[in-house]
Amino acid sequence: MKKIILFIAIAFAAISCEQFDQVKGTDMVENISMGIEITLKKDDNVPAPESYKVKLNNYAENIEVIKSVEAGDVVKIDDIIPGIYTISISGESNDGTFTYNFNGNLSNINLLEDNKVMPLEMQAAKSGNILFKEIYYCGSKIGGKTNYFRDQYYELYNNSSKVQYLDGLCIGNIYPTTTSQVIYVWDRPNYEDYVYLQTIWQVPGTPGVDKKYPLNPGESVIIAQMADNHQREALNPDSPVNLRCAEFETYLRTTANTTDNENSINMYMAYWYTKSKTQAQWMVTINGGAFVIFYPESEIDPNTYVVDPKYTSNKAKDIPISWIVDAVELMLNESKITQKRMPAVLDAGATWVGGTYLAKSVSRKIKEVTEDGRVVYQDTNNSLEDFQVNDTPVLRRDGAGIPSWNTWAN
Amino acid sequence: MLLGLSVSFVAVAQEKAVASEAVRQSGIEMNLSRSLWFNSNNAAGINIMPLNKYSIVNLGYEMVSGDFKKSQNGEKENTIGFNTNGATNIGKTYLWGSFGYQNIVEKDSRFVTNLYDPHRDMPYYVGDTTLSKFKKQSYDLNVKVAFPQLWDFLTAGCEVKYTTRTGAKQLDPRSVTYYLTVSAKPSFLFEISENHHLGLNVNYEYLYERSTFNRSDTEADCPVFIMRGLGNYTSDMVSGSLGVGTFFYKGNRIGGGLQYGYNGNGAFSALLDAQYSYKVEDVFQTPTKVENMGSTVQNLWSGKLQLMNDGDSFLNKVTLSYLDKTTDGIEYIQELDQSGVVSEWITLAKYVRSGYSYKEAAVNYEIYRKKGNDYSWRAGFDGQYSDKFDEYYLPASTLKAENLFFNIYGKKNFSLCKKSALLAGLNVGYNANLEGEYNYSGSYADSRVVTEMYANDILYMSSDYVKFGAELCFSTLVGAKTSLFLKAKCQYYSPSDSAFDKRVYTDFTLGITF
Repeated sequence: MKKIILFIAIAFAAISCEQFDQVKGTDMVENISMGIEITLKKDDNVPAPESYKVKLNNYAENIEVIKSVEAGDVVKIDDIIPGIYTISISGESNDGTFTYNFNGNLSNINLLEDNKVMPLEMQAAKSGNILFKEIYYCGSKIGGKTNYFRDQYYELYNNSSKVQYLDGLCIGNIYPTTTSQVIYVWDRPNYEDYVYLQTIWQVPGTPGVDKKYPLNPGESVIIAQMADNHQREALNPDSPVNLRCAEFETYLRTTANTTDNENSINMYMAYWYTKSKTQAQWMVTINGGAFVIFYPESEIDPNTYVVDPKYTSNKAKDIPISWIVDAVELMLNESKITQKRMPAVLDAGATWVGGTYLAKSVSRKIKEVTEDGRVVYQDTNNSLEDFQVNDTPVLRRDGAGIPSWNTWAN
Repeated sequence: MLLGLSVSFVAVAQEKAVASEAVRQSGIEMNLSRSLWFNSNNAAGINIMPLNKYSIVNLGYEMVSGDFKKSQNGEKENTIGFNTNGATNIGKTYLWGSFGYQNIVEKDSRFVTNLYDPHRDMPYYVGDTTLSKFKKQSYDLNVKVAFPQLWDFLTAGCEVKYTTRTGAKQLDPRSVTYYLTVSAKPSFLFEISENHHLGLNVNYEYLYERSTFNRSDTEADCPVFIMRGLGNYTSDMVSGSLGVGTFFYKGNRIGGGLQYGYNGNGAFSALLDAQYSYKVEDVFQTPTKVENMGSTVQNLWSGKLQLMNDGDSFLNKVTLSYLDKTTDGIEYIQELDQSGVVSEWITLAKYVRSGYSYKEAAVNYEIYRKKGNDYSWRAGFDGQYSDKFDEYYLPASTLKAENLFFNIYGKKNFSLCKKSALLAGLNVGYNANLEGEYNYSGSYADSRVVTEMYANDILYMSSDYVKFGAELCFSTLVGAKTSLFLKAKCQYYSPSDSAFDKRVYTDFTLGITF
């Protein structure tokens, strides 16, 4: 008995000592400073910005620091509370003829040491010609009670001043399909040069060859999970959208719940390895997926993929980052930012509506309106900066045009 | 099991009780007050100042209502409680034990989703804005033992406490929380001379709390706040697999103290008790993939001086006490390391982000007009100065509440007939706030945590108020050494701040002493 008591006493003492040791000498928090060593990726004749707008976001603590700093080899920022930050820098220069917008992002950076200097390459913002304009992913409620998720949609917009052709354009969602602590380790050389997709849907046609689906500047198209009037009685009268006018839908088969819109163009399911026979629609997570659009430079072979050596049932399509036209990462809320999936080069931030079945959407902020009335949306490759949350999804918000070949929209 | 153990203990107390006059509930009050060592952290000292033998079993019902409260307390609280305690000796070994059970229903509490006791110096917990019922149960076991003196100078003793509690929030987001503490306080008493004693005790406490979250409506997300102190938080949700994971709290406290006791040959005795303890408590989510949510480090100093003159007719006692408690809140900066085969949270840095200080100095004087083992009347005075200062270092926020509280009380034992007596008591107190202020400069200035919870709590903590109460206890002898009692008690708090109305505590107890 004495030995047992002695053993218990020693065990408790050992546990206590370890716990006490772990907190011994913990420092008091103090503000720190940091520097950003900026490299501009530009032609020699393009002038460098004279000042930069630096934005630091610590999502876990809801801290946002915005500073305007003079240009220099190293820009210094003071009074930072140590933490994990996403850093966005923008600057503007003008050579008298053109305005050049420079952007650079660093995602999930640990700012813990005082006077740490981070290198950052900025380049004139590669404003995507085609980009995600609005995404409605969180679903809605029927009568405030029952969940409804078939009204998800994606709106793509021609943000450029030239006609773009959607033929062969692909949309896909990357693994993990929702933010997760599970690691996917894909067996592929040059691992970091690719994104790994669960699903790929493609607009019919061959990119660069076919010109059946032109999109003029300022026009947008809707990709619906199901191009139906979701507000009708049989579906969800409380749904915020009627998607009968959608240009494209990701139709799989007709069931009691899913129908094929005879007008909307059915996209081609280019890759979905894990699709089961029971799936009737392309429902992506209402917690927020991570999406890319791209023009494949070669035909997508559904029979080739990469696998996770540890979990061989995980099979993904590897798509080169260089093909990507636009990307957006969505997540449940700011608490998931440390589980970010999208490479920072495509999207340094993330955006969210803050819950599920809220009938809210995210849409891009307007950057400017040209003299001819065309809306140009912000595209800094940081969705936290570029997107706003809307209480209600609106198709073709801000007066986006409908392509001429959509004869069923009105 | 606890109940069985305790009832057995009380039964032993009765068996070993030597014939003595019946003890009423009022007599037990004086009995417990006059043993200075019983009221110290050194159980061994009971040996030189033993309690009279007694046993008491009671069943009570308490109703609390009113808005003069912190946000996290219920607008109404109903408690059914059972308690039994007693003192006895087995030869030269002195024993005291207590067992208590409480079944509590709190209505309309807010801003606490998981902690059983949101006021237990733990800034890292989950809160939400839903007005909800909280059902709680607690079991408390406490034993003090003083062993026979050895070699005419050394006495050993020990106090053991075991507490287990469970709580369940009744509206989404729901939680079930289990709380457990075990503490042991071995002690030694050294007899320097017949009048002078030195005491030494050590203290170890283990704390554990585990909170799981769920929702009955699985189709609705429940936003919650992961609190970090003084209105700072991280937003999260109780929402399926992506929501908040199970919260674990594990703490260890070690400490010790010294006592000096003087026991005059006459009626005068004194006891000085000084204590120090150090406690660390860690909070984390998901033990298989530990994500640290915070830690607290607490240094606690306390001292108590008891002076007593136990004369033939009167018992006079003065108690001076001081408490100095400082708690550091440590937050972790962590990164999910996905470079290995299995992801894990890596601690990149940790900082003391917040500090919580509480100082209290108190004085109590009471006088008993003795009547055998009972009293015919008693009166007393309490004075208490308290200073609470909490600080979140970056971004800087502070909360300060400095108060001075006075209370006077008196009780009179009326003998109704040979067997029955009525104990009537009155008390009146006043709290004067000296300073109270909450300054928030974090990033959630418009949140309900700041504008409702902390706004309410600082008003509560810095409000002047008048407190008055009355109690009546009817007791009657039902056997040679047995008395039955029925007690009714009411306390009324009337704050001066117009933001509040009142808080009323009403308590009925039926018990038996033997």
